[in-house]
Amino acid sequence: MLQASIKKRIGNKNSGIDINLNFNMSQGERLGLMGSSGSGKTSLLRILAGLEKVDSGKIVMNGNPWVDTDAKTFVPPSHRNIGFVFQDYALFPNMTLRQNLAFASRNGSADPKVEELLDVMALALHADKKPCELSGGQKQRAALARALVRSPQLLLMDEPLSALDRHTRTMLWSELNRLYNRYPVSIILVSHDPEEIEALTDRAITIDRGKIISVPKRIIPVLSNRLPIETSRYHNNGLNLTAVTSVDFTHMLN
Amino acid sequence: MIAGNTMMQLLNPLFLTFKLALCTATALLLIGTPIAYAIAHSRGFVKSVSCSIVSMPLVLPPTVLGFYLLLLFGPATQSGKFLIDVVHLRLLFTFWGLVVGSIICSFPFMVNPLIGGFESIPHSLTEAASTLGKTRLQTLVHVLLPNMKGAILTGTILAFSHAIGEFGVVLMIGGKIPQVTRVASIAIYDEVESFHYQTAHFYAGILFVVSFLVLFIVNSANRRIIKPI
Repeated sequence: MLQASIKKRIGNKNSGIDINLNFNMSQGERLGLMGSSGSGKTSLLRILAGLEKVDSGKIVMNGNPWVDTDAKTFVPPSHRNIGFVFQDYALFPNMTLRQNLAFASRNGSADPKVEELLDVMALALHADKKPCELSGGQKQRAALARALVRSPQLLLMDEPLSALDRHTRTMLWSELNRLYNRYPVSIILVSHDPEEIEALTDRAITIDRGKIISVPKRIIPVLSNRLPIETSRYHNNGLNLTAVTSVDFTHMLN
Repeated sequence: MIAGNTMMQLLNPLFLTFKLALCTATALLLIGTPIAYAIAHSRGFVKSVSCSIVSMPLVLPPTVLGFYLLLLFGPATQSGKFLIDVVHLRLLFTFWGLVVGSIICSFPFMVNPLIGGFESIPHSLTEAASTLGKTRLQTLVHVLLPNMKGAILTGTILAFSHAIGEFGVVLMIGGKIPQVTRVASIAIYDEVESFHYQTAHFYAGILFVVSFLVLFIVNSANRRIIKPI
């Protein structure tokens, strides 16, 4: 479904990183992206969304080239049919929740999916409220509903739960899984939280300084004492533990 | 009360002044919005040059602007000849010439607040709109402009107020033709020169009160309109 092979230099000569990534994704797959701050996770999402351009490479979605630097192809974000859930939710402050969804929809307020999503996301009672009147969890659900209202072929989520407290986050995990069963869509989720990645995705990759690494096996048994992690999902490519400790596992190990 | 003037003649400079200010503010809102949008989304050298050009009327003496507009619109230059002979547009010593001059002088008062308004909106809102399939125009109309009402109001009122008080450029390119270009600020100067202090007081007092009211309304409205995004 999605094939990406991209290179991009981010930042200046001294403190920047070189993103050099190759990966594929299949239809309906939920892919988790982990990595420390500044590793290039968000940049990768932004590149896939078309919000940033690459220096070289290709991104092909269902056979359609979104980016091909050789052929000078670049499909703008508005033509990619994606959903993007921003870290700060980016709900339009001048619109109510219903208006946010209707604006996003291809059919405006007449789209039955607007009301359906408001119901499914338990936002119907708040549909006429502005974003500033909502709690963090409600904003998160609203941002997700808005991203889904266009039936995107790919949903990109940039640490969508990071601003919420742990209790709300864990509550939302089951809601998100329920939503995925109802609206199966390919998802790329960026998160710092391995538990969240485990709960919400089928497969995870870790990025460090713009390159893909994987979670080494030897940390998995420690985690698996606390979590239902299937260690077979992860591939040990011989990296040492130092590369992984940049991901915040500490709260789980305590 | 004021000898030699009928009420209509007396009030005419005030009508002209407010008509000029209204035309200036409306035109600037239409012209200034896309220009401010472009500048707010530009970077580096282009942005520095654009911002400097926009703010030039703040530091240039109005007579300098007026002098160049006099040359630009007058029959002594090629541009003036083109306007008069080809476009059949005579701007010198006409009301619409005053509007053009006033637009140029009030330009930074409208455009600078609008640039600030565009820049104050989180970039993620524009990006969210683009990922939702919206064009730049749709994003501008439905997302950006409604979220910068305070900046639009401030720019409009500042441009309106500045146009009310415009003197130098108006005098240079409009003169003081009664019922055509003799706006209140010119009338005050005229009446003082003729020692008609009572008439000058009349105009000056009204401009004073109107200017205060306009600023009071802007400050009060801004407090209600501007909410953190």
